[in-house]
Amino acid sequence: MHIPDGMLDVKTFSTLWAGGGASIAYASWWIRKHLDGSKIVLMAVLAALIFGLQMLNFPIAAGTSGHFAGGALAGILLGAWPACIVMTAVLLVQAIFFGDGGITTLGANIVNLGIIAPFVGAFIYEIFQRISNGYASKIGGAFVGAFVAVVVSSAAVALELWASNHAHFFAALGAMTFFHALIGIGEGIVTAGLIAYVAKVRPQLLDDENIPNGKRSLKSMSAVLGALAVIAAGFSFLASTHPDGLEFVYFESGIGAEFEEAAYVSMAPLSDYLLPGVGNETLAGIAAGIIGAVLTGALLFGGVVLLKRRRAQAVTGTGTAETTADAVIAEAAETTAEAAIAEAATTAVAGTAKAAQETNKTKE
Amino acid sequence: MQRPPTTPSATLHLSPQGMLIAAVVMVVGIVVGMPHAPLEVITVLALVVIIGLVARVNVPKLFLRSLIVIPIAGCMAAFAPLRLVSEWSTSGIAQAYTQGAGQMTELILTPWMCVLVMLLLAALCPEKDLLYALERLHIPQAFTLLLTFLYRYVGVMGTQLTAARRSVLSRAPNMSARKQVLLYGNLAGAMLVRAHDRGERIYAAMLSRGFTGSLPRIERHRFGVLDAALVAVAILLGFAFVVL
Repeated sequence: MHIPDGMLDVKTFSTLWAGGGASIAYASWWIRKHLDGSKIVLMAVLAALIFGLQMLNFPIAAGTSGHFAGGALAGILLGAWPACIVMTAVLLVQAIFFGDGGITTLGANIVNLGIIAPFVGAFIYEIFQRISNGYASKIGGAFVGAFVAVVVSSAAVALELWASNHAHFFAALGAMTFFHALIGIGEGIVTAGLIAYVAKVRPQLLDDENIPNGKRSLKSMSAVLGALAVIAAGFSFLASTHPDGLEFVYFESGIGAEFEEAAYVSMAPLSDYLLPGVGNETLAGIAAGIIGAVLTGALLFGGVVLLKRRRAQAVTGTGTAETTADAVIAEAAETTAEAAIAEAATTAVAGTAKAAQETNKTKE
Repeated sequence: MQRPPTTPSATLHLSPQGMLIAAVVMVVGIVVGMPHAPLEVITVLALVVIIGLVARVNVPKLFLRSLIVIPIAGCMAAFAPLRLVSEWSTSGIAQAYTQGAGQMTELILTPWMCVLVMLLLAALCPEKDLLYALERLHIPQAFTLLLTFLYRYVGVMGTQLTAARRSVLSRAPNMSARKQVLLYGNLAGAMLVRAHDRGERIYAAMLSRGFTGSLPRIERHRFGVLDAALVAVAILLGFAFVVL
């Protein structure tokens, strides 16, 4: 599912870079705020595991093979935002060191495998957990979450290829979702097997209560998934200049007959993704792409920060007993995280103490 | 006594951050400059060969590795002309494929050239140098820290995986493919738990040795005049690909 360079055009890959970049910036901030040093170890180990498992191919239909993606697994074990960072790290290493997935398309790969897959997987797993917190529910949630995450991500790839005018929408959607439904079964089996093992051997990895505000919050995950759905819908109407796919249905069915395309295209400052006043069409397209990317990224990042500030103000102001308790927990966790980081960065004494404790544990 | 250069990037006297920027600029130039004239393709290939030979990189192996992108690019190229089909009949589809032949070639050539450039970069700079380059380019610390640990733990994971595979082979040498697939999950879980335990011990040991967020390096590469020249050449070439 890694899209190589050259498969997406400028407008598509710059838009996805903006979206992916803003999300990663927010995820980095979230991790710095909420996670301590020891969680970095789990994230790194998980990244290494996903990296290794992505190299294992298993046969599917018609002589093709698929490999494990791991987005849903990371989302279930770590929560959606840390999973974004883990998947981005894996994708970056693959793109730079192995030529697996492109540099210009890295934003798209981050969105597909690093944002959509963890959020969808974690969301579905959490719904299963709300129904029942038992062992079977964990396995079922992991299987269904991983399967749906792979299929939805593949549909996103089809949408992006179509938006770049490199594929017929329904042909790409059909081919991508069919083969990835088969891959999704393998992904589901591996994810469910892994979650089953972890649930038996190390259940505290699955029910970590030390991560506040978000690992298990259905509201925040619903908000992100809703935003992604709205963006995808808007993207599909605006991105392609060819009347195929949704646009075809929209205009040919008569729903959009009242809209004269020229009427709104001429009003847009960067109509047809070209910067006015630049003679060379390619350069005008690049300039418009860069402006669009910067604007989209700034808007996304600004929106998220604003939302966070308002939420924080609401908590410190007239919050209910529950929200105040949440704030206290968050503050305590933040202090612990800061203390851990300070400890890791500066004090050799603390390091020596940890090593001594470790030695004692080993001796015991 | 002067120490002999240890890496290809050291042979070229270039910093990893300069090479990373130049490679990314080249890739962007190649992608944005679609469709390509034959001269552009020859220029990219000649550059890869010349730089590879100067830096004593195994060029045939590099070209062989770059073929990794052909299956996926070929698959997407094979589907691409379908959007040009005006009539879903044999003649309509054949006509679409005739019209889309140029696009198909582009969809294979472009990713192949980009992969060649990135693999050349990976061959010239060791992983540790590229991590250092990302750090110098102000990538968020949480991110570079994770990459540093990933670089460290891939080896740990590999060792654990080899041990587990040996154990499975010795216990059940005739296991069916279906059972092997089912085993993957448990195996992966065991890998995670074992590597996590070992990772925590390594982290504690690293902390006790004064780890502050980045791995120590022997050489310090500064962005110098040669790097600036390299990036300038890459920008000019990228610009030429786009405009010509």
